[in-house]
Amino acid sequence: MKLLSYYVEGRRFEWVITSAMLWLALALLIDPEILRSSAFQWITLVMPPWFIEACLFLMGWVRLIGLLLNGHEIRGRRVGPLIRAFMAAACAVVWAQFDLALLQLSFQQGFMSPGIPFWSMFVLGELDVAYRAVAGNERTD
Amino acid sequence: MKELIDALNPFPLAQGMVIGLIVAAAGFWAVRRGLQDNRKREGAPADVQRVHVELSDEEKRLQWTAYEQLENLEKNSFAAVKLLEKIAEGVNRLGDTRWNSRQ
Repeated sequence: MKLLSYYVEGRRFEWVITSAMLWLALALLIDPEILRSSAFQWITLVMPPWFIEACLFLMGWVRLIGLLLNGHEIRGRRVGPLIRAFMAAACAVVWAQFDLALLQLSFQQGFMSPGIPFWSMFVLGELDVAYRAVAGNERTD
Repeated sequence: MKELIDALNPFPLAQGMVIGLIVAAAGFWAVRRGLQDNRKREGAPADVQRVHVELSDEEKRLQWTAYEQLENLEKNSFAAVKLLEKIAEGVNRLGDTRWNSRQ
């Protein structure tokens, strides 16, 4: 439990999102058609499912590495926060695409998709993580 | 926002790219700002606390006794060095005498 707290404390949001990313990547690997039959169908107009799957898997994996590099230094520099910050910024871009897909769907159907508040806040949350991971607060390394 | 999306509607790729670039720029700015704030925090001097130590009469007396002992040690150390020099001279003389008697 102590070990779990050591890795999770102060960065629960990142762990939750990383788990969700890897989960979705795995689901897309099993069935690439799930995006086409969901509210995110607009994304598949721009990016094919295999590309989204690869992005989610790679970014999720790198993010996991950043979270596990808890205070480790490479050439005198703590790389964990840097990886986490840049991955958070990259994830904000991906979540913005998901948000955009829901926005398109909302305009098409004439009412707001209930997913928009969540994905919009995910984007803001990721931008906040991008700042805090490198700003050097209590638990940043 | 709706106008922008409507204008870009025939180009879904451009739409995604424009929104993506805006968010990426915001993300890059957040990371840059975070690094700047981190540097500022590291460069800031640590809080200095001024402490005034009040000694009791007994502690002051002990302190002066310690200083006196240090003074004695300093004086005696010179005397000890002179004594050691004399001993060294004596030992050398003994050595010389022994060497001469063997000639």
